[in-house]
Amino acid sequence: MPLGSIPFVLAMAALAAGETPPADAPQAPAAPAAQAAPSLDFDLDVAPAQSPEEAKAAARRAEQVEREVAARRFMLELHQKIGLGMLAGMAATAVVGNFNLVDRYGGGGDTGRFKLAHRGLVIGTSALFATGGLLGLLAPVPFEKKPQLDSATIHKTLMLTATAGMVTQIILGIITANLDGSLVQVDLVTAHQVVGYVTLGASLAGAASFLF
Amino acid sequence: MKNAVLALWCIASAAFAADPAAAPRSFAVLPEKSEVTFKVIHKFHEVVGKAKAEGKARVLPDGTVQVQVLARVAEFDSGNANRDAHMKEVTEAAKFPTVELKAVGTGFKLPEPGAKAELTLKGQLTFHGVAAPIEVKVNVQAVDATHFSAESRLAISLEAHKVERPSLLTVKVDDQAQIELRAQLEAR
Repeated sequence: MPLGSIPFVLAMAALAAGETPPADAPQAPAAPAAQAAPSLDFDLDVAPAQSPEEAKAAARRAEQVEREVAARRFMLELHQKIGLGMLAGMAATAVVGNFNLVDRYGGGGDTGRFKLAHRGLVIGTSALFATGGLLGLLAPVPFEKKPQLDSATIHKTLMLTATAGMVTQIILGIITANLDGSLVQVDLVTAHQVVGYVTLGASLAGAASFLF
Repeated sequence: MKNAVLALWCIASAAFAADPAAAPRSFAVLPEKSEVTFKVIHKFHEVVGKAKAEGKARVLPDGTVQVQVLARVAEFDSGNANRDAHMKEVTEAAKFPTVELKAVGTGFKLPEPGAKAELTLKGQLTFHGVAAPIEVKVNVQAVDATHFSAESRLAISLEAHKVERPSLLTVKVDDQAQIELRAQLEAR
């Protein structure tokens, strides 16, 4: 190699080492690719490749999950809407129930003008409660959940309390109605009132549990 | 003597050209030390979920950086199993199991140990099976010669990724979700 080629070799070595060429060196024209969108034509092999069998099994599982998710979402959205309607109905039942109580035992003249409205609200609210509850219980569970004290667990516990309250109310209502004129009826009416408020409170708290 | 000097120059030049710094450098994201945080905002509260990040990066001699990072949707944990299950439902985790960032940066030089560098990545974020273009700034810090940390934040639109926004008490979550990446990388 002639000595004259040494500067060329040095320049190549400097370029390979990433040195910036001198300012007066001729600038290479910018490559068109540098102006375009970055090329993502590379694969760093991040996700392990699936065999065709594995891919088929995963696709089948995904389809099944998709069906279950669609059913679950429909059922739980309906559950939410029915639940909110049920809460409104339950609050109305409590208000009308109190009017009924005053009418009957609080010097209201026992006209019975709130009796039908109270009964209608009780039946409507109970139907909504049962429907909403069944939707929540029967909704498919496509993804496994780890056992945890979460909003759903708190919601279920509170709604179980409310369910017990609803059942108690029905039993108390039947017993109270059959003890017309008896002294114990007043105590049962008070119990009916207390259980009613507990049921309403548990239901409200159950709905609010998802806010935290 | 002339020939000996010439031979020395040639050997030195060849050794210089074969400098390891001039070869591509590959890095692996350490999943146990890296996480992706996903924040969704609802009128009533904020939900923050976390998952491990996996991935690789390659720095080419010309300063080009290639990055591929992913997080598994099923691994996101917000501390509320019910909410996590709901998140998997809306993001169709069985069908689209990963969130993946694939991007390229240019003109990057690895910082010296203890030093920091900023890198702009351009590429795409694939979430819910929908790839959307993305540009994101990444702060890189060299822990030592072979370990680096990287941090980045970006906002994405759930609807742009065709995710049906979950609702609570009939109120939907905000369309914009925040994603934060904190990764530890090791040279391989």
